[in-house]
Amino acid sequence: MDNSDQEVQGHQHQQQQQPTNVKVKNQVEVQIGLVGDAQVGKTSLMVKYVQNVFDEEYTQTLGVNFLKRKVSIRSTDIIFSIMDLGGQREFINMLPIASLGSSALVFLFDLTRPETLTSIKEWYRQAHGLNEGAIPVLVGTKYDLFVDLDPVYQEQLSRASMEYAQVMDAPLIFCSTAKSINVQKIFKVALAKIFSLTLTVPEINEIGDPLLIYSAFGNKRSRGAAR
Amino acid sequence: MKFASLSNGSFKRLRETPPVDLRPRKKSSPTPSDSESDNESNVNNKWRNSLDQVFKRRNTSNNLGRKRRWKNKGPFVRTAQNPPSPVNVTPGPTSVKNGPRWEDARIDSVIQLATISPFNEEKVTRHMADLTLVTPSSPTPPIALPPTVKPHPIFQMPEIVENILRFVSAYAEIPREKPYARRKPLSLEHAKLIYKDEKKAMEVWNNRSQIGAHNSNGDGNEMMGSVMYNCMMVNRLWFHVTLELLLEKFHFKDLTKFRRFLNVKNQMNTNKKLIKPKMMVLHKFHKLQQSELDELSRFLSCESLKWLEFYICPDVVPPVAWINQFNNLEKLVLPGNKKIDDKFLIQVSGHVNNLKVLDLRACDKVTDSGIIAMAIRCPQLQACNLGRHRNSSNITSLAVVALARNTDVETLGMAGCKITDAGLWELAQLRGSRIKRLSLNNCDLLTNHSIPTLLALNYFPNLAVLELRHVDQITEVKQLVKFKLWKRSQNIPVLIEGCERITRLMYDEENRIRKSHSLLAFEDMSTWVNTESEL
Repeated sequence: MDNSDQEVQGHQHQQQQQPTNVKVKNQVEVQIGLVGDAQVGKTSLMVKYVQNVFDEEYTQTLGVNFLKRKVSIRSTDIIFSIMDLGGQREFINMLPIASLGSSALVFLFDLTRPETLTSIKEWYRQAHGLNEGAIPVLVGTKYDLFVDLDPVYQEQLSRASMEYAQVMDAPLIFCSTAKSINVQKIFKVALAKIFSLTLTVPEINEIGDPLLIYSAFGNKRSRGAAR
Repeated sequence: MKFASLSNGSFKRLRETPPVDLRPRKKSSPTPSDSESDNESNVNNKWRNSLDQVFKRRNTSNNLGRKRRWKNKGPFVRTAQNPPSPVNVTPGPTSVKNGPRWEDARIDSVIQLATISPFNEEKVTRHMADLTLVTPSSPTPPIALPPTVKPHPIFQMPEIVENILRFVSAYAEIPREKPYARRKPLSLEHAKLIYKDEKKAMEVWNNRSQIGAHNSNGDGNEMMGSVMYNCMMVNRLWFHVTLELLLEKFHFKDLTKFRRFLNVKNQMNTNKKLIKPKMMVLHKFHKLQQSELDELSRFLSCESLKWLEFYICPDVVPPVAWINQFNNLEKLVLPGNKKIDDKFLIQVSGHVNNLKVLDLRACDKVTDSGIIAMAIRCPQLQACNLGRHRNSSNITSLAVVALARNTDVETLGMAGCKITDAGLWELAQLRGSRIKRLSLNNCDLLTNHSIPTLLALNYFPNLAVLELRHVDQITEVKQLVKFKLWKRSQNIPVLIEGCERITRLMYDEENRIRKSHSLLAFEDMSTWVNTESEL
């Protein structure tokens, strides 16, 4: 009598506290490094992407910033670990922190300052040298200011950056953190290239538009997927 | 840290001395102060008073008097009659003269003590006089030692010395089964499946005889055990404090030493003080006789005992006199015992209501009724191991259900028992969420209707170790793998120890599940990268 009562109680009790399904969520963790000259907007881009906040004030990055963002889709969690390296030359010795272990390296330049594009050569040489497996992505920032400049300058810079993209075999994206243009796309393209996923998002090739060119670049390298 | 360097020093020396010879005698010797301070009835003051006397005497007496005193002393003189050992060549007082530090000097004298021979007794006696605990007021400082080197006062306060030695004692090794991370693989193939790395598998397979075996060599703890005996030889105060601590953790793994201890103890009829250890461990005494244990029970009381372990001492049971004193017992470990039966357990069960750990592996005579008696009376029991190879039908689901119903059991060893699916279901329903470790090796009555189904329904959400070797009727491992992956996704590792067949099944299943998960992940990611949305 007593015992059977106990059993029933125990049974109900157990049923209540049990999570009934033993379900495992897939987890994909991807590290992405952001490099480029000082004041091109690396930290802004990261903060915008992770926290959706844009701050006009400039804060110099000392060393390396690090933020994580989790994207949940159905049964999969994608976790972006974003490493943002200060652009000053003095932090170059910390480049390995941002570069090693990253599956994609985003090279940023300021569309309003052509010399920052020239610096990409050096950034690419150093960062890519440390981690040849990482997918490079070339990103021009401050598109919102760029569109107001002389159309001739716009054309020249666009062509130059496309040449850089070709040499680096890197997708090219123009973005504006302030106006939320193509910010999300950078990470989507990076992820698609890392895992060789098929992208169907339309490309933007017109000079003067926020360029988004990915299909021809970043496809042929041999690399270990980050899983 | 003077103390650290002191113990390290003596530690090193220890390898040269044969401490084995000295040990039992040290352990069993009466408290040497007895002879000196028999007029002292207050035990608490005994140390200090006897010390005071020593110093008084030292200050007043000459060399000759000192010598005589040491001659009359208990344990040290006995060592003096030991045949000279090879260590006699250790540096004499000459080396001390060359600018010695206090610690070195102390250690040297310790070594000297251990190896006194009639020839160097004079030297030793003189040297011993330099072991100043309290600064003697005598105007002439000790020979060869600069007056500045003195022991730190903390080494003269019994309470502090006891604290220090308690730390040493905590490191001392107690003979016991070596814990192992994983069970030995059953074959090279099995090892490969477990470690998924050929090289590592090879290594583990080739070393299999050493895993879990008694690898006493190169074990630092073993050394630490002997350090306690070294501490006894520092001075009188240290001797007393260390002896108390040693007797608190009463353990032997050498039968001849144990017998010698009994002999010495028997000869000392004057000392009526009972030993009240907190822990008592006898390790692998295959030939220990019941009469010897009964003898021990005359001067050893179990009223403070928390841990009683007779590890593979097949022919003895704890003496009846002890059973009534088991009220504080928390750990009863009697594996490999041929004498223990239900009658004994029923007798014991009335006195052990604080028991937390019960280990009766390979106690073939024990059956369900003994376990049920224990389960009813030990509500705090957390770990119970009944694994066996023989008389498997003695333990059935009845024991499991009794444990589940009456105790706090979290760890259950049922290897080789005749438990059924129904028994396991009842365990799951009564205590499933609390169960952490479950050993079901060789439980040949279990089928897919118990463990796999129970895991699928998450009846054992906190299970961390599951042993499932040679359970031939279990063929469905998908749920085991799913459970394992689910736990791993929460960063809680779970160990499922299977035989080659089950390990292989799980390995293949895991690969299948991983593959389908990857496909799913790719699908999800493709969907995401192609959705049009800005943040």
